[in-house]
Amino acid sequence: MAHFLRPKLISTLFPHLPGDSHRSYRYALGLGSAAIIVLAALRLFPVALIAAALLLPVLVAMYLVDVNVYGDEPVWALSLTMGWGAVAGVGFGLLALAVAPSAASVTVNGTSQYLLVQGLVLPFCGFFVLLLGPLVLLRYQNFNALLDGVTFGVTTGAAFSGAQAITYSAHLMGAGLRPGGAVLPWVWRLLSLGLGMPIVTMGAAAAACAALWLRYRAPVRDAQALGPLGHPAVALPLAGLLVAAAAVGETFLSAGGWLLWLVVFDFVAISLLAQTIHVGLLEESAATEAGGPSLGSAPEAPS
Amino acid sequence: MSILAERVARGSSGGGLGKWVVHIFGFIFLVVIGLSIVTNLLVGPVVVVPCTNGQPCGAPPTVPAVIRETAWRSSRYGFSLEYPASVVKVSQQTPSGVVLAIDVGGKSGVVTIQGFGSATTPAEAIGDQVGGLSGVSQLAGDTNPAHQLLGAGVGYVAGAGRIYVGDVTSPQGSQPISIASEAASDGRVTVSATVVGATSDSGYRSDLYAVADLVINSVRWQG
Repeated sequence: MAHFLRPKLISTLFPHLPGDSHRSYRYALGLGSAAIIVLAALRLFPVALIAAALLLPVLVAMYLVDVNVYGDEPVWALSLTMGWGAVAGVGFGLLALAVAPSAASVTVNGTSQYLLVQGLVLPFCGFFVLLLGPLVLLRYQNFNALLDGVTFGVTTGAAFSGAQAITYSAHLMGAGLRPGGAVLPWVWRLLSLGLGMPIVTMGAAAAACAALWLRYRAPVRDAQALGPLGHPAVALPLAGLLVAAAAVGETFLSAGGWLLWLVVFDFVAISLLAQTIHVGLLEESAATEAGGPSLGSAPEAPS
Repeated sequence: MSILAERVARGSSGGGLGKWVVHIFGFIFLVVIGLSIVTNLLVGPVVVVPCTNGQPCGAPPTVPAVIRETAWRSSRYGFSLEYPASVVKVSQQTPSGVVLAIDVGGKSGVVTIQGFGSATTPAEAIGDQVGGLSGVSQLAGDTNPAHQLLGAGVGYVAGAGRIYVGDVTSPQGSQPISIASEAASDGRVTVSATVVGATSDSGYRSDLYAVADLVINSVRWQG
């Protein structure tokens, strides 16, 4: 139980990573986070925003290369995960800009205008749209392990969050290299957009994908391993609500308050995902011991 | 002891980057930072030479013809103002002030004109009005010399002026805004005016600021 109370971010988001690589990834994450804070302290806010938005996608891309998750079919698998996540993120960033009230209107009427559409509807719908890419991969037996679903969810979620943040904040690029602003709220905001929100999205997407893989790809004996949480009818709406609930905090909390709010949701998402990964690892161990097909086996035709 | 299964590497290729992970990540991240700096320099605004107070500083911006001037009067403080109803609409009003929504040439913003008692100094009025703006995050004074208000005042009475920058934020990201605020007092009443708009729609040569100037200059003091 202690493990659930203290979820480990790197080993949960990157389950195929060997134990001796965890420290390196933790250092990389810490280095990236420190760089974002330094850039913000230097008031290079647009640069810090791009760096924050790309921090986790870069780390995920390195993980994919590091453990060769996609085997012999990296191009189309990457297209349907990282590529699709980026496209969906850009699309939802543009959509959010299109439906956003004007800046002037917000200063008069308050951020409550953001609550319904940008706080709840767009995050909830965006979450289900980003799942479409991994859903295509569900058909392929070459990616039949539960941990494949987890990886696809993590990858798509990271790309979606990064692309959306950059697209929505594109106007910031036109304000100059050092556009001005209070540093500390910027730091909280950058950490929220670069770490807090993406981690919830990645964790929720991975948990949702895991439920799909558990239902349609895992051995029958594993299908009930997570109880109701392993059923897509429960897991998918729950994951969508988790993302929407994390996002909506921004509309009524301060920059620092939203970051704290996101930490709580990160904890919940990673804890849920950790339970799922446990089943996936047991499944993988059983397959290895039985001499079954390994995850990097030769491609097979879609089932 | 963990109740979770031990995590296993994926095949023989797991962890291929080994100890180089941090180095490779650091290199990629530096490239990302470098590229974003270049991008910002390419798409960022051209550096503007600050104007000198009292000296010519280029042609004024063109604004729509001022027709159908509409008057508004503060029932509490007695000052009045006029605005071109073709591009300006009353958004909110109270006995002491009015919020006008400006939409000119596809650029939008708001100008808030607010009255205060004589005990409130122009600087205090600016602070009060800007502090009352909702939904603005990362608010700070704009220190760019080219953005400063020269000869700030309201209704042709000299006063104080300040420029701020901030962001309106949503769960998806941030959008920069510019805030220009000026205030003046005739000894009986202090009137402040604050203009808010997206940074891309603002600036001393923008239509938004030109229309806001018309409104602010139109203020007539009581009596």
